[in-house]
Amino acid sequence: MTPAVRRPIPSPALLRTLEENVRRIEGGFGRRDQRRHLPTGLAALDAALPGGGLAAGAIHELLSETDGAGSWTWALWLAARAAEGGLPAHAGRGASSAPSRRERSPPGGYLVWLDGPREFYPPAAAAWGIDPARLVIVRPADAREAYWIIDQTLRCPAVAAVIAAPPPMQRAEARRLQLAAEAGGGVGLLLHARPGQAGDSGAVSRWRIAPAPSAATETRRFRVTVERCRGGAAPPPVLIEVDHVAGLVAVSAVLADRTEPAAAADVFAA
Amino acid sequence: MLLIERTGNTQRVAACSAEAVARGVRPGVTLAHAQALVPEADTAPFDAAGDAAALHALALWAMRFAPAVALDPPDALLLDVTGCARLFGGDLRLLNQAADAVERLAFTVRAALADTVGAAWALSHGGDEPRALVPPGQCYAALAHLPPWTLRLSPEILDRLDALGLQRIESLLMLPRATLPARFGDKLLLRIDQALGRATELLSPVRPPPQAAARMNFEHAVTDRRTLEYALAPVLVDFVAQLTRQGRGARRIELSLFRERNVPLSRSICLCAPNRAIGHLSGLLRAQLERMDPADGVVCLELAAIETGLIVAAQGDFFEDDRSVAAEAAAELFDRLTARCGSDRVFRPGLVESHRPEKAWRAEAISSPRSARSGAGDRASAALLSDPRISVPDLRPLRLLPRPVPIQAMAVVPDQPPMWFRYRGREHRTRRGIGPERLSGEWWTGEKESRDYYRVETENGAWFWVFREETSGQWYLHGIHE
Repeated sequence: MTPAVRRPIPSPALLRTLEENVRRIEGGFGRRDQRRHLPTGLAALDAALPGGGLAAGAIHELLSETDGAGSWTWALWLAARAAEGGLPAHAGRGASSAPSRRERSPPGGYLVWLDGPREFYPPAAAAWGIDPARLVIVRPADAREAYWIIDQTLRCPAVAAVIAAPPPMQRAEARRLQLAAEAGGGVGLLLHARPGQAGDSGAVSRWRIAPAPSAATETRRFRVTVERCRGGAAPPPVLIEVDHVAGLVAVSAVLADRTEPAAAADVFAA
Repeated sequence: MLLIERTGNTQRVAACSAEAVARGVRPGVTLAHAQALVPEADTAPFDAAGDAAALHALALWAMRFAPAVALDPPDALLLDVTGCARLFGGDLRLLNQAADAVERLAFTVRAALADTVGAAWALSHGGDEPRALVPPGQCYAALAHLPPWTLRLSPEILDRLDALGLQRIESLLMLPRATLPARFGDKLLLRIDQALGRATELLSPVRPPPQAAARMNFEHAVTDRRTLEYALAPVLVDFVAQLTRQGRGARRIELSLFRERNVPLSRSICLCAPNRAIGHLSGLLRAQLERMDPADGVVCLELAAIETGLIVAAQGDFFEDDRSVAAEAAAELFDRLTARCGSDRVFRPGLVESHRPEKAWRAEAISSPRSARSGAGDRASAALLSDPRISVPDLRPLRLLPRPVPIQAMAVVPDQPPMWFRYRGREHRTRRGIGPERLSGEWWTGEKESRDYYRVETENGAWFWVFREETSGQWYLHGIHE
């Protein structure tokens, strides 16, 4: 007959440590007590993302399926949320509880855009509510310099987001960038022009952006799929539409299925 | 009162008071002549070096009115007031404030403000009024009746003009222009053109003494960069100590290497915010040192603060403290990036009003004072943000090709977007096209061509920004809604 074992009641602190260890083994990152998540402002996504948003102090990859897919728009949107420190989450179309994009919060972090090919167009970014005074553009001369700039800017606590087409990197170098982001607390958004380009970079999340046919609103749509994200299951794909007032809104899946590509001639006639 | 200078064996009057002038004394007459006219006059030796030093001091003082002040010995200062009038409430106020301030220093002043250095000089030296303001574009009218000497001409040229009986600038200008160089030399034409604004005239402004400077002299010329790096450390410590005593930080530092038989080598670093952190400055200065070649033998290494700013001590408030730490970190980051990449590759955008989308912004230096406080550039940007074309997202593409790319495209009717186009070897069928948005050329820059822009959506849902050139009908792809 076995004596009754009194199971020790684990202390909350111990529980937290164990939980943290589990997350780490499952692929967590950084120190839990310093980990922040930035709401993307799209309720459907935020509800499904581990932590309720985009992990701060981390590297995220954005894969573009084709030219004009919307990866820059999505990167800029996430960067703007990071610079604001995260807007209160607001649901899709019609929700007006969120402050408008024009209402600028007190100076947030800087947004650094690496633009080697000289293609980034700041006036368009201003239209997305990016304060030009907090936007810094850097034009790296070569891949080595680009890597150095990304590393330096990620380490700076005043930089909320770095957006860059990443140079080819070894795994250790990619790891170093992740550590730099953890030190600085901002987000690094690496844009891959073609899906094949991204290797195993050790990024905290990987997003694939693909274009989607527009609906009657005549505004651009794109589909965002989280291919991988650490610390939880990836949310289902979200169809996103450009809204001239709210910026980006999530379109419900049902609505998305109903939109039939209209014949070109019909649209032009309208 | 007579100031006397000695040339050879004769004593001449170098300068005299207004009372003496009234009695017929002129600078240049002999002392004996002058004393015959004004027997009771006091005399004193003329101190040319003292005058020059005083003029220099006055030039530095005058920098409160204009950023660039040049000396025009023996008795004039040239102020480049381009863009300054705004700060003083107009040209006239600037002129009066400056002249009043000089008078308060117990100087007699004649002042003129004009488009050109030449016109301002002529009116201040030979005009009827002690203060003259020449409205923009009125240089000729203001100068016409003045005598030719006010054009800053050499005595030889003046003698020849005098011989021809030319008493006024307008009569001089009636001479055929082509004959002037042959008759009077190139200088006359240059002076005329400078006065009327046809030729540019550069000032060489005085430079204020550095607010902090530290140097190390070497007994033997140093050719080894490592030695210079070692020497930099104590010089920097001394330099930073000077800044600390003043409660200031450097905004621009010049690192100079003086060489035995050659001109000094200099490189300067600009800082986004006043800084005196040894670790930060040392990193930036060492990077500059790496680009300087000490092979010729360096005898002295010097650091000079060309520009400084106050460092405001961090407030006790925890939140504020956090923020100032972040601001400092940002400034140091941008300093490092600028030091490595150069200021033309690290910048912030400023919005500009333009009909050409590619010209609707320009790069602004992060280290410009504008970025430190919310300045004119930011207000201009803010004003432009109310323009719907700039304030509504997605009307302009985030990715704008540096140069529009000609594309093969087909539109059914000229005023419609293309049904089909080919870009980078791929055919795109369009399913939607929004436009046209006509952006006309800026005729004053020579770009007259109007463009009809369309936002087109291709079959798969990607959006492009294309335009048709009005006259040629050629289609271009200009941007991608990436």
